[in-house]
Amino acid sequence: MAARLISSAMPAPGSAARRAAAVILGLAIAGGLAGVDAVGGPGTIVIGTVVLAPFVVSLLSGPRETALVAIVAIALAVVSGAWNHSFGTGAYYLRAAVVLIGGAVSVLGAGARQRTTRDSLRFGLLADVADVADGQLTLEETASRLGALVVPAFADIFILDVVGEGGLRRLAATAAGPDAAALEARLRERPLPAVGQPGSSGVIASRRPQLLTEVSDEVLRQSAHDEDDLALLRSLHLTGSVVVPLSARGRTLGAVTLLVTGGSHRRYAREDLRFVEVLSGRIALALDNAGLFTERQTMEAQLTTALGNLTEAVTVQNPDGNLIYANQAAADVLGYASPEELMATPPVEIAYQYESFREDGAPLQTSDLPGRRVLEGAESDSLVVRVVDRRTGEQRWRLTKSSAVRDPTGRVTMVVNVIADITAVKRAELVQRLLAGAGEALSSARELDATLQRVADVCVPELADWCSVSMPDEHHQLQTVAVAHTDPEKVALARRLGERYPTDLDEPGGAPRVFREGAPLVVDHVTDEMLVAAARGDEERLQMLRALGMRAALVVPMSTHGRTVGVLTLVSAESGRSFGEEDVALASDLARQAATAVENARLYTERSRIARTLQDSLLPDELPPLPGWRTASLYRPAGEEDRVGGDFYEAFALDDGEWMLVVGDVTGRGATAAALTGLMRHTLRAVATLTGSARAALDKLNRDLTARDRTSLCTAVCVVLREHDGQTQADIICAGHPLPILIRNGHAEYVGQFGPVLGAFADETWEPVTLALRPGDVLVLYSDGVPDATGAEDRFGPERLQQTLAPATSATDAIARVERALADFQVGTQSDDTALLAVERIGVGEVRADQPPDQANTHSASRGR
Amino acid sequence: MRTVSGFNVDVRRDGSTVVVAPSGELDLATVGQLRDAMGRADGCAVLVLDLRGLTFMDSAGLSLVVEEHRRAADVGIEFRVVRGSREVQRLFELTGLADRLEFTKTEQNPAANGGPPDL
Repeated sequence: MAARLISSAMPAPGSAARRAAAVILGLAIAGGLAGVDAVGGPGTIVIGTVVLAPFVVSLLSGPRETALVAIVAIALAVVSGAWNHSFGTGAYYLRAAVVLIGGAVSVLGAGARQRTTRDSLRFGLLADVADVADGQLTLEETASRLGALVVPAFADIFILDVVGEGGLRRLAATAAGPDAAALEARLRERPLPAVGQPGSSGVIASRRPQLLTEVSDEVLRQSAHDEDDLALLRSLHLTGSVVVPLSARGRTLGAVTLLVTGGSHRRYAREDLRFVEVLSGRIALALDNAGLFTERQTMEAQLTTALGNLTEAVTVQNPDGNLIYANQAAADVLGYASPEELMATPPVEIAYQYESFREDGAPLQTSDLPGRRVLEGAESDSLVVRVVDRRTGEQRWRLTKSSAVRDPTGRVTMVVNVIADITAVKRAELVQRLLAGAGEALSSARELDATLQRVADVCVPELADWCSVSMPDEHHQLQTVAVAHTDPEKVALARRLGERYPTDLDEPGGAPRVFREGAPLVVDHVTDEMLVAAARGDEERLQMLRALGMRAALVVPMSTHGRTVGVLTLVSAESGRSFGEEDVALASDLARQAATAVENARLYTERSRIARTLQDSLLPDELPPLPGWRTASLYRPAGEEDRVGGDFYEAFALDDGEWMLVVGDVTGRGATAAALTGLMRHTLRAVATLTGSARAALDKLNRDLTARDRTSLCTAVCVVLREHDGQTQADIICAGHPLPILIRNGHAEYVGQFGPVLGAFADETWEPVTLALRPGDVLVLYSDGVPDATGAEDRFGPERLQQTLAPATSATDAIARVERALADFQVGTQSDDTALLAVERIGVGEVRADQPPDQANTHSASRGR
Repeated sequence: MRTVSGFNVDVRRDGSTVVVAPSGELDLATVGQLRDAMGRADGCAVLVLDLRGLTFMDSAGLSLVVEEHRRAADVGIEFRVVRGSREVQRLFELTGLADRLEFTKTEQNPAANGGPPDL
């Protein structure tokens, strides 16, 4: 029992001085009573009262001190027989027994009292630690509080090591005594023990407590990191240590190290270990709470700061859909002064402030909301929403992304919504889309209509619920040329309204005024009175106007180069949105692009018309009737609309009933070629008519062409038809031109001979080849566009042309056959103009039926090339 | 288009001689490329247009040949044409230019003229 008492770590009540005082007091009492007993002689025997001495000491001090005094008291009682001369008497033994028993009882009492005190101290300590665990202290505050509780009550030195992100760290070191502060500092700086060394690291690794009931020098040497450290450890005069791991919720948080030193004469025993384990449980709990609290606090502070600074709006909803957090950006986006104000507003009320639409224009359903979808099980979801503020009519675009926060069981505890205002992005996107292609060069009126429809289409539904493009027509009315709405029925309604009630350009207000004045018009609120006024007493018209559901309107002029060509009308209906300055600017831009498109198309149409007029002027209106001849012709310009080409054909009368036929071709296309064609045609005609000579005409044209600075090559085939000595003759001159073909009796032959091209050399001359023609003969003149026509694999070529023409039975048939053959042969777009002229000899003059063509002057293609 | 994609112009410079060799189909669609290439041959003493690579030529090509011929005469450089395929040469015959231009069989050996039409 003594060993147990000595090993107890709980301090004896009071200090060493107090214990010494108690012993001295006890000895004094015992000595005093023994003295009275000795001096008083045999008459006054009070030696039995020495038992009071250990009794008193047991109340003031521990069992060791009590035992010491009890032994002295027993010894005095035993020796008292000497002065009382009572050895051997019954009274002597009785007194000795009383003192002996009294002393023993006092010692036991002192032990019991001490254990009681110790237990109550321990319970008090546990309760205090539990209090720390309940408080909302940081980890550091908790550690320092725990140190103050444990030292000196249960240990002389308290060390707390915790597992952190970077490994084990010393959270606290608390010591007792006058040099506590310096010692604590040194202990904190000490390197943490390695796993192989005694102390926290090994304990945490093994999760088993470590008890040293005595600390040998060998243990110190094992623990020391170097000589200085060893000196420090030796100076502590350690008498015992307990190291216990700290675990909470299955997680090892660290270890607590308790040391006792020689100064307090305390040691640790096995049963102390049990207490330390209980104590460490409480400490771990306190640390865990503090750690969590700190982490949460840090995270909350960081999150709040981070979210508060985000330009994206962030809101957090609980599973009921109520807002539990919102940052300033969220308040801004949703139109509230502060997050607090926003959170105080019921969700339904927040939602009702806006009319919301999906990207496709359909009204937004609650089930579309990403937050709702996340609550229903989706991990995350996002949605682009267009909202119109019911109060201001302002339209914004938002991108909402929602993610679930789940507890360990998978239940959604929160939904985090990030709402970005993407209005600027959307608008830029819209502008891009609206303006892309709207102003591109258009090459036909048909394309113009398509473009204007595209302009109307892109405005819906992003910019407006309705969009229409109107242009004046020849009846002085503003005609709707394009209209768009997401609902086709509404488009039909608008078209019916436009057809039924055309808008007169002289009407005072609305679109006609915008058209006349060239300034945008914004109507914020379309009232029923406005509709009534616009209907002008026509009930059906009023019904149709009302059915459009107009709420606000924006009309901008389509102007370019100071010319207004139409108006672009944007109408807000179902969405209830209003039109702001940005919308006016955007619509104006778009209208300007549309105007450019209209103007381009107009210019193009005009140019095509001019080209056609020019070309038509270059072609004979109609071939004049040639007595004795049937004629047929074909002209196929390469371009669809731009008909100015370099080919022409012509037939005119010379003197003496002669006729001259020409098929000509100038190199190149477009205006230059057209001008050259004009020069060529009129020179040939004028000179030939004046001189009656095709050669003279070609000479003159060649000199004119070669005199030009620019190389201007032309080719021509000239045929002069005449009656001579009862014979029908054709003088054929080819100037760099493909030879004509003569069709006779199912055969097609090349006739004439090659001559120099026009415009290359000034000193060229041409000789005609004269051919005798018979009734039924067909002579075909053509430009190189025919043989040069491009097919899938090769050019049409002279042989194919010859074969095509051979079966021809008349001038008309010849032309038809070539046209058909070219249509079948050609691949892709026709790259060159094509001109064909065919003449057929009918029954004038006497021609012998069996006379073959003049072989000497006929170039036969059958001989190959 | 076939006529565009197959067309190519090769320009070689050998001392004071520049040889321009178009290949493919020379027509209105491709003549601009050849005109550009010929324009880059400035500063030479002898300009040779090698037509052997052409599979087709129309009046636009012909016009350019005449244009180059005139330009060469104006600035005093020698202009030779290396005769092309029968089809190409036929166009020179047809337009009476075969006698007017200096044709050679190869770029090195000048010949007096293109000879009679190969018919």
